[in-house]
Parts: sequence; structure tokens; C-alpha cells
Amino acid sequence: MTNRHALIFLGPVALLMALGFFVPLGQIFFTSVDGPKLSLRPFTELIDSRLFWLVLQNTFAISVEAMLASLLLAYPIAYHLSRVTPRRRAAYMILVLLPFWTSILVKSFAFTVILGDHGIVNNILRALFGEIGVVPLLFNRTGVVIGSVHWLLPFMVFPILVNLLAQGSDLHYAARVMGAGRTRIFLRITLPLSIPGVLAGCVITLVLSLGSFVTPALLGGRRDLMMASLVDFYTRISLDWAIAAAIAVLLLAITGGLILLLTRLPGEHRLI
Amino acid sequence: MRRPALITVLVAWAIYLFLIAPSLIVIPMSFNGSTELMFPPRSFSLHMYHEFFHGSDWLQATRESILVAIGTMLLSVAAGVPAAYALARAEFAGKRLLGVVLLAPMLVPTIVGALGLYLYLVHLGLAGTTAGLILGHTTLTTPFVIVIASASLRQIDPNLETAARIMGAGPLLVFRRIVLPRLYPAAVAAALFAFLISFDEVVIAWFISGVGTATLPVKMYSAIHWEVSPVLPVISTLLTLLSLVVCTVGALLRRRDAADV
Amino acid sequence: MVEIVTGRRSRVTRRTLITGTALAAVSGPLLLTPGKAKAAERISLISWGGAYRKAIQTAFVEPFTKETGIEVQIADTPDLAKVKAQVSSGDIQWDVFDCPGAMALSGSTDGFWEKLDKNVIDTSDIDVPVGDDYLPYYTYAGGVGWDPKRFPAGKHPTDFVQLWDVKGFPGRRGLRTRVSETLDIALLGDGVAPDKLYPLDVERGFKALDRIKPNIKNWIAETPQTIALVQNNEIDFSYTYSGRVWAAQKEGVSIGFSFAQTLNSLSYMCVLKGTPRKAAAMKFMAMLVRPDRQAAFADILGYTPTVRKAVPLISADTRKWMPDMANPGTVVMNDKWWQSNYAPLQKRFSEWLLV
Repeated sequence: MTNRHALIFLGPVALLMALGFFVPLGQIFFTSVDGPKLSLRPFTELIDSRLFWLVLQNTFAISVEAMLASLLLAYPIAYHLSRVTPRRRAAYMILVLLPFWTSILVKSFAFTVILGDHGIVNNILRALFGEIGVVPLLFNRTGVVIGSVHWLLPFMVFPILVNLLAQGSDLHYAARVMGAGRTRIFLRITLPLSIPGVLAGCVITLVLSLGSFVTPALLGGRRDLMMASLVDFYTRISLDWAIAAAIAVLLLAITGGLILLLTRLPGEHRLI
Repeated sequence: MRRPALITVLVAWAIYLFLIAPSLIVIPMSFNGSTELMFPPRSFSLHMYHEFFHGSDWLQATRESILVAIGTMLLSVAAGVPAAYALARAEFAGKRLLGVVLLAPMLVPTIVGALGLYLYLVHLGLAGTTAGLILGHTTLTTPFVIVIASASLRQIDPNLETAARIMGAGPLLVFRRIVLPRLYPAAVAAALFAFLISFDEVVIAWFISGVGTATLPVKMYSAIHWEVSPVLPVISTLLTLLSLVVCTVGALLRRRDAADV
Repeated sequence: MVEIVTGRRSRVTRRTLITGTALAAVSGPLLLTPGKAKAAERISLISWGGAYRKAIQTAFVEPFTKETGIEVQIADTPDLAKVKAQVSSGDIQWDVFDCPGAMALSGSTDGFWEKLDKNVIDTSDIDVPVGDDYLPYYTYAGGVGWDPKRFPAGKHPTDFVQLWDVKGFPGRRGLRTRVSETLDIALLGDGVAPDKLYPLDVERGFKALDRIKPNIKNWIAETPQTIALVQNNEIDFSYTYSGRVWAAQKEGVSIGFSFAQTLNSLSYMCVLKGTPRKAAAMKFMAMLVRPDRQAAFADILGYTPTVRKAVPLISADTRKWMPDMANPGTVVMNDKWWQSNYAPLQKRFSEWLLV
């Protein structure tokens, strides 16, 4: 279609983005420099603040752990989904999507029942191994990672699945005809070719996890304070909106940088 | 394609169980007789369901959530589907960049968007209104609609459209008569997902909702702060059932579409 | 002229239009006001949910609406950020705001509240400091909580010094994630005399916290968890509140509370500055300090009234659950001190929690 026609189709979304996204972002940028004063005070105050650096470190540590855990669990799922019939795939997809569509509050609440010291998992462990088998799974880093993985999983599964499906069966057939066993095919062909999908999934889950708020708040402990919670603190308790906005800008810069990195990477990993 | 190996199936199933366990746990808890939260429940009673349906503020919050979700669903499909079409069929400089920009709300931390939206809605006097909520949610859900519609568009043969254009049909006519009917299952699936995302969304709603416009997740979040109410498993069960229904319908529709993802 | 516009014969001429409008303008108000001066006035109250909300409804809102005809719409969860946004933009949606000390005083410093209309609100009988623009309407007692089934008498701490005595009373402890209250009890636990507590010796407080840190299993953000975690055997001793323990006991939960030493905090109500419904809001505030209403509220939730005349009106059962203000161990939190110190100390405390 011509560019002129493209504009018609892109019009509504452009209007929406302007009103709902760019103007609010502009508001954030404006607030982060103390409004009309245009001073860098909020940023310098943040950089001098030990709390900020500790929380930033925390946020990255938790996000990387969540990303790796998601990868570990998502790859088998994606692999399984790519190997079943399309009909079955749709059915299994429900299992993958259901937790994503389940309210995060519901899940956090359910996790407190499952992961507590006297929750389901630990009661089983206690029955099998006695008191030493009990593992602290809640209100700590582990709880946050488990909770995060739960909603990040679909975002890791999809890019990998798309990649695996695109690989097609011809390559595998050729390899089998040549005498390669299943494991060899996987290690030498499937896995290397799936790297772009893996990278895309990793960047997306990392970005999403960096900004997460509810999961660390409800499932984490004292050492699991994340950037989004810090923004919340400055917004609602300290009422220093300039600093809250400054943190938001920095968070944005980091996630933006990561996305840009993704578009620069080689390979077929487009989402649209 | 050969069937997956047993080890793959076993590992996958372990992970599937992990994924659905929380949702399943709350269902029996909602039927518990006492006012305490316990698992496994000791008795069976519909008392908490009664409490939910007859407590006016929970129902009011549910109504608000439904209203916002429907508004969000309609607006995000109206904005997202044509946009996906333009991205799939048009070629222009900066298309790739535009694609990334349109996906941005999905990837920007929600709290950033929520704070900015809140500050600016306050200036406009729209903070606490349903319209403000719909704006916030639509911005969040439209990228998802675009992704789903784009995936479907990749499967649709553009030659039909080219033929129609050669015959002299304008682009809007082509879109309406040729593309939309094929895009219909994906559009409905996208609409349902937009509905669910909006219905479950808590961060933006927390900032923007006002006195009479609290949504269900906002009330749940408040409730968690104040007390561990036994009504929560009831709401959780109802939300899970809603998600299950929407999910199933959406998945069935996309399967019909023959799109792989 | 109108005939030309409508395109057909119309009986409406300009003259009849003007006459009609004039008649309507004069008779309109008469027609629209059949007896009542105007539609029911309504104010919005921002408070907490659940059992608390029911108590406010029963003890204050219903009698208020019955007496004045003014409706009160209750909404959940006080949030100072939203107050700031409303006051600075002038678009006030919230009228009365229910908040603990830190919020009320910080809001006062920032100019968020209207001055109390003392002609309407009777503050003469209140036994705690009343601000110009914030009204204290109850105190709540914080103290040591435990499960009596697991820890019979003598095996659990009863005051803050004992809570800090990990050798004498070993057990997993739970404290709050907010610096106010936690720092106060840390100093009391370190042995500071209750009447010499304020101004707080911050460095000594943090050292006391350092000492207890390894024994804190959970740093609790959500108030209901202060009881739930004891109930679920996740912690042994917690810092919790008398009113909640009373409510939990009524539900059959095995939880105990010690009145040997309590830290009492004040809860306030304020009116947002610039609200168009100021008069109605002030009337509601006046209802909050009526002795009979204060007693009714205390009987439901177990909190202590601030109005002296209300105390004899409270039932004997409830009185057992009120802290003894004459007890030398009892401390009332100094909100004025916290007003200027809360924000920087909370930041420092959050950092301290992270390492």
C-alpha cells in the first residue's frame, strides 16, 4: 500500500500512543528535571544515594536470576510444543497462558499457601526428610524468582517456539537420513539454530522483570527491594515526585538500551 | 514430525503442573467453611461466595472492571488491528523503528507509565475517572493486539489484496472485504486477551482509579494490605475461571486460523 | 423567522420563545425543589477496608447520615500522593482522610489540610495533643504477640526488653518494615526509659537493631501478616496490635498479646484543603469526637478513644483490651518528632534492610 494509505491505518494507534504514552512519558521527563526549573538535582541526588545503587544491583540480580530460571523451564516447554500436533499444541498452550492471565494477586496469594514454611511443598519435604528438609521458599529471593518465572514464562516460550517451528522438519529428516541420533540432532542443529529465539526471549524477560512491582512486593523479603518499589516509595511516601520520575527515566534508559541491543543482534527474532 | 521423546513429555508436564498449581490451589480454598484461610479446607460451604455476591462494594468494583475492560478491548482492537495491517503491508523508511516504538508500552515498566499517566491526568482533571483508566489500559494492551494480529497476517496471502487493488478497489475496501474476514479469529482472540489483561491489571489501576472507580484488582490489593479476607479465594477462583474460559475460546479461535502461534 | 428555518408552519414565534424562556427561568427553581433544599449532599471518606470499614460505618457514618442527611461514601486505602495531586490541582475528590500519625503530620507540613473548625468540633475533652489541622480520634496499642499454645506463660517475651533478649527468649521474631515504631521499640528494647524516649537516639536505636537483626525471620510489610505469620508457625514472636489480636481471638485464632509494655500510636482524621464540601466535612469530624460514638467505635474494634468522657461509656469487656495509660511502661508515640524525621530515616532504614 502507499505511504498515504499507511498513514490512515496507523492514525488511530498514533493518536492513542500520543495521548496515552508519549505525553505521560514527557510528563515524567519534565518532572524528573524538577519541572520548569530544568535542574539535574534529582539525578545527582540519586547518584549520590547508596540506597539507589543497592536497589539497582538487587533489581539486576533478581532479574537475571528470573531470566535464567525462565529459560531453563521455557526451553523444554517450547521444545515439547514444537513436537506435538497443532491440535494438541493449542490445548497445551492454554496451560502456558493460563498463569499469565491469572491475576498476579491471585498467584501471589496462592504461592503463600504453597511455598510457606508450613505450606504444601514444605509439608511434603518435612514428611519425607524431617525438619532438615524444609527449605525457605517465601519472603526471600527464591520466592520472588519463583513468582516472577511464573508470569515471565510465556514471554520466553513464544520466541523460542516460533524459532523452533520455523526450523522445519526437513533439516531434521536430512540429518536422520544421514544417521544422526535424536540427541545429536538436538545438540548440533536445533539448539544452535534456536539461539536468536533464546536471545529474544532473554531480552524480553529481562526487560519485563526489571520493571516488576507486585511480585517482589508480595513474595519478597527485606533484601528484595526493586526499582519499581523505590519509585513507589518516592511517589507515595516521600512525595518527592522529581526523584520518582528520575528513577523512572533511568529505568527507561536501561530497558530501552536492552531493546536496542536486541534489534541490533543478528537473526530472525522479530516480534512483528 | 516424530512424537516427542518420553523425557521431553515428562519434563514438560512437570513444568505445566508448576504453571497451573497456584490457580488450582485457590479453588478448593474458596469453598472453605470457616472464615479462616486454610488448605486443605476442612469443610465445604458456599458462604464466601454469598458474601462476595451480596457485598455491594465487591460487585461495584467488578462492574467497574468489566466496564474498563470492555472499553479497553474495543479501543485497542480498533487501533491495533489496522496498525498491524499497515506494518505488514506497507514499506517505508523507519518501519522497523516504528514497529519497536509501537511495542514500547509493553516493555516499559508499568509503574513508569502509571506514574506519568497519573501526573498528567491530574493536570487534566481526569484522574479517578473511568475514561482515564480506559486510556491507560488501552495503551498497555494495544501492543499485544498488534503482535497477535501481525502473527496472523503473516499467514495471509497478500496476492488476493494485490489482485483487488489492481481491479481498482481502494485500500479501505480491501481491508474491510478481504483482510478482515480472514483476520477475524485473530482479532477476536486479541480482543479477548486485551479484555483479560485489563481486567487483571493492578499497577495502572492503583494509581488512576478514584473514589467510585476502584477496579477489582485494586480492591483486592487494598484488601491484602488490610486483612487476609476469606473472600479473596472466591475472587481468585472466579477470575481463574474467567481466564480459563477466555483462554480456551481464544485458543480455539486461533487454531481455526491455522496460525502456528 | 422560525418558520423559514423549520420549513413548515410553526406556531412558535420569537416572542413566544422569549416569554416561554422567561417563565421557565422563574418557575424552574420552584418546580425543581419540591420540599427539599437540594439533592442529598455527599462527602467522601478515605479509610481502610474490611472490619475497620464496617466499624466506621456502624459507629460514625450511619448515625451521621441519620442526623444530618449527608451521605458518606467510604473508599479504600489512604494515599498521600493522591492527596498531594488533588490539593495541587484544586480538583478535590476526597473530603475526609483517615491516616496514622506520620501521614497526618507530614500532610500538615505540606499544607494539605484545612484548619479544624473548632466552633463545630469540640476538642476540649481530648487528652492527646490536637493539631490545628488534624484531629486525633483513637490510639492503638502495639506490643508483643505470640501463640500461647506453643509458648505458655513464662516462655515468651512480654515487653520490648524481653523481645530483644534472644538468649532468655529464643525464637524467630517478626518486626515491621517501617522505621517508625520499629526504631522506638528498638530503643525501648535496648533499655531506654519510656519517659526519656524522645527525642530518639537514632544511632543507639540502629545499633540495637543490628543486634536483633539475625533473629528477625520476617520483616513484615502487611499488617495482617503480623498475626498470620504467627498463626502459620512461620515466626514465634511478633510486633502486633491489640485490636487485631482481639478480633483474631474472637475468630478462634490462638494468639496472645501483652499489655505489659505497649507503644501507642495515634490515628487522625483530616479535611483536605480546598474541598468544596468543607462545612459538611467538618460536621462529620465533629461526630468523630462525640463521647458516645467514640465508645461505640472502641467497643467494636478495641481501640482507645481520645475523648475522656468516652471512657466510662465503654463496656467492661472492651476495657480489658485497652492499655493501661498509667503503666510506666506504656509509651505514646511522639508524632511531632517523627514528622521531621520520618522520610530520611525511612530511607536509611530501607538501606539497612538491604544489606
